[in-house]
Formats: sequence, structure tokens, C-alpha cells
Amino acid sequence: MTAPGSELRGGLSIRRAGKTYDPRGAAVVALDECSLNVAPGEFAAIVGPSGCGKSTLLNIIAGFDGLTDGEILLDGKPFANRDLSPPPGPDRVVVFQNGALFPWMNVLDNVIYGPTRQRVLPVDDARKKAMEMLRVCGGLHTAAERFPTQLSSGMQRRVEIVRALMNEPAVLLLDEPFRAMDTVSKTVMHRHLLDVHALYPKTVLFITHDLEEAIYLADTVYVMTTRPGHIKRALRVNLPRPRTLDMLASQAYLDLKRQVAEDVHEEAKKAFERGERELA
Amino acid sequence: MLTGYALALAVWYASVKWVPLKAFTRMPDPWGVIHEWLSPQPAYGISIFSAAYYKHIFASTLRAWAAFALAVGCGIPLGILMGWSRRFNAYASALVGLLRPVPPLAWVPLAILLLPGVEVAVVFVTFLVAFFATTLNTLVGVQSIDPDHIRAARCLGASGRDVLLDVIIPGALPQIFTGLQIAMGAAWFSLAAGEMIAAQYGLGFLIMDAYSLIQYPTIVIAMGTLGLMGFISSAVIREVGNRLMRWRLETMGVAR
Repeated sequence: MTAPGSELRGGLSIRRAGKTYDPRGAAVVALDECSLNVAPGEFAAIVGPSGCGKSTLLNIIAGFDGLTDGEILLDGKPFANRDLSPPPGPDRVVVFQNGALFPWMNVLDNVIYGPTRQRVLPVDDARKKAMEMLRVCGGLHTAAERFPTQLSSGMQRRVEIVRALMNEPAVLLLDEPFRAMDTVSKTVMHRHLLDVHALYPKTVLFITHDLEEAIYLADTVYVMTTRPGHIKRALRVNLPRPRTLDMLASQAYLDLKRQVAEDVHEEAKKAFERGERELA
Repeated sequence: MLTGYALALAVWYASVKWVPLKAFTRMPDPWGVIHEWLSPQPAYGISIFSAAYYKHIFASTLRAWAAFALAVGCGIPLGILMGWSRRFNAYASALVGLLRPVPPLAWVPLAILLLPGVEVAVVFVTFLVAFFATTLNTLVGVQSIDPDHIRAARCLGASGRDVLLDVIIPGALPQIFTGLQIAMGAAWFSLAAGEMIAAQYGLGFLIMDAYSLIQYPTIVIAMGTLGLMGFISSAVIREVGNRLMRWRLETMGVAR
């Protein structure tokens, strides 16, 4: 199913990215000197306290927002900088925090939306491809005729991931997709995402504030500082794949978790203290 | 539901028979009205067997639906445009904000003077209220669309036109149909009033005509017919809405 050469796509190079919001003179620096490199096919997780600019970074890569400083390269080509804001497109598909399946289309129509609107596949071929992908990704093909609101939120999220993968994106952008879920459903979704990533090894940028989830899923965990956001630390997760739940009790995992937790805690404390000073 | 209808008739009957007010005693009871309504030889000339009755119904229905169609044709595109462009919304809402509070009947004299013929004037006044209801509800519908749906569509490669047809319109549809229901109700409301003031045919005219001749049963027949017509119109719109929004029905129909 994977297109030839797709293993080599999806390298992201973020160089000293800066983003200042300046609506009415009161400048808010969301990102400052934010640099990271994501290799093609890498699963990168970005963690950090709330409001640190994680989502800003994702929105800029997705094309919903522009940079005010620095640059971003996609597969070595300049892609976004001060003067260049790419429109959103099927090479960088977002899976949204609260889910964004179209409630007025059934599952199948949602999934074929990308390829048919881009006119890269005739409807019949798109349907065939969609049914196959839905089947492979957890047997979702049985729900093809149903409407999103008839599905559980976990199912909805899985369908949305398939809808994104149908476009064979260079980068899959996941914006805290499991945030609103309970712990048990989350575990099921993690397993699912790991399986899907093994089947379709795309570059993934996964935004979360759940440290355990980040370590369990990712190849590299990037800890972001509180605002203005930049990368405080990049941690290579040296747990083998496929990842299993018993790894969550391994020493390697616990060591990583301690490191990330310390970093994030430090940043969260800074944000908290600054918040108190601003109030006083 | 049947109990409700029976109760309404009972209240009507009771108020005619037992309310000790002089004016009420001249009011026909339900049986009198129904008898007149169904009579092949109505005492006052209007029943389901008289051609004039259908002429009035036809005139009113035609006006209501013509005004409604016009309101839909202008109001939905305008509402979408207002929801789409902030600048356009600023201009248009200033205008709509100024014109909307003017009661529809206040337009009647000006409409008659400005427009060619009384017929056009009555339809115009009917159109006006329906138009405002349609426009404003469409605007609210567009504004209530989850921005992530628009972002998702653009991520998936949708053009501006695709976003309009695949996200904006279906996303605003529930609210649009709420607006259409209100618009239809408002249309019948101002139509009846318009016809009372200026028309040669129609149910509103019939009420006014019967009033000047003091024909109680005919007044009530025309009132009942107006209610029935409004009810049928609403049902038609609801049915069309349900067909267009099958996804909402399926969602509500499945217990999960």
C-alpha cells in the first residue's frame, strides 16, 4: 500500500522558528528559537505545559498560521518562513483534538474525501482503497455506511486517522488526539496507533501533554519550554519496537519518564509562578 | 394529541356557552362552524363546496410560497456571504439591523405606492419578514460551523468551492432549516395582515370581508384555514429538511 520512496519523505527541519502574535500592540511570543529535526518516518512527540506553543508549531506546519522568524524545511526544501506560508494541503494532514470528521458524511465518504477532491483517484478506486485501509486498520470497514456520530469517540478517531492516511501524507500531524479519552480507551488507541504506524510508516508529529503516552509511542520525545516555546531537551526513546505494555514497567522506560517528568515539571512550575506574578 | 384537540374544542364550546359576556354569545360554537364549513349550501357562501373558498386559498398559498421562495433564494446566499466575509457582514448587518425592526405592516403603504400593483406589494411585505428570518438564521448557521471542519477540508485538498459545498452548506443546514420554519410562519403571519389591508382575494381578505358583513362562521372558517395552511407548509419544510439531513435522523434514531 505504501507508495514507492515514501520511506524517504517527510523529513522536517525546523530552524530557529519564531512566532509572535501581535494583535493590538501587546506582543505575545509563542515560539522563540525553536529548533528540531524530525527524520523521515520518525515518530516524534512534543510534550510541554499547557500554552507552551506546541499547538502553534503544529498549526504553522499544517499551514493554518505563519512564521514570524526562522524557517521550516520539508524534505530539504524551504517550506515556511517569514515571507512564505504554505496553504494547508494533503502532504501534511492534521488529526484534530476534538475530531473533525464531517458529521453529514458517512465513514466511507469521509475517508475518500481527500483523494476524490484532489482528483488523484476516481471514486470507485478511492472506495476500494478506503475499504481496504479501513479493514486493515482495525476492521473499520464494517462501519463504512455509518455516520460518525453513531460511532464511539475511539472509532471516530481511528476513522479520522485512516482519512488522513488515504492522502499518503509526508507528515501526519496529531494534535492531542486522545486528550478527551479515559485511560482505558487511551491504551486501546495507543496500541492501535502503534499498529497503524507499523503498517504505514509515516513521519508523525504527535502533540501531547501526557508524558507516558509520548514515551510509549514515540522514537523521540521533545520537551518544550514554557512560553516563549523552544525545545528544552530531545530524548531518544531506546525501547524496541513493537512496543508492548510490559515495557511500561521496564527500567529504561522508568528512567526516561523520570527525566521527562523533571523537565516538564520545571517548566510547568515556571509557568505557574510567572502566572502568579502577573496576577499580583 | 387527540386529547389536546378535544380539549381545545371543549374550551371553545364552553367559552361560547357559559362565559357570561354578551359579545361571546354571538360567537358560533364549534358545531355551527363545522356545519357551515362542510355544508353544500353554506349560509354565508363559503364552505368546502364553494369555488370561491378555493380561490381564496389558492391566492394566499401562491403568495406565501412565492414570497417564501424569494426569501430563500435571496436570504440563504446573503446569509452565507455574511458568514463567509467579515467585511461584508459588517456592511450587511448594519443595513439588516436598521431595517429588521421595522414592523412588516409599516411597509404596506410605501410598498403599495412604490411597487406596480397591490399584488406585488402584498408579496413584498410577506417576503420581507421571511427574508430576514432566513438570512439571520443562515448567518448563525455558518458562524456555528466548527472551524476544524473547514481546516480539515483544506488539509484534505478541498478548494474554496469544495469548502462551500461540502462544509459550509451542510454544516449550516440544520440552522438554515430552523430559519425556514420561522420564515414560513412569519410569511403567513404578515401575509394575512397584508391581505386584510390590501387585496381582492386571499384568506386575510376573506376574514376582513366577512367581518364587514358580520359573518362569524366565515371568519372562523378563514382563520382555521390559515392555521391549516401554515401547519401544512411547516410540515412540508420539515419533511424536506429531514430528507436533506438524513445524517441527523440516523444519529438520533440509533440508541447507543
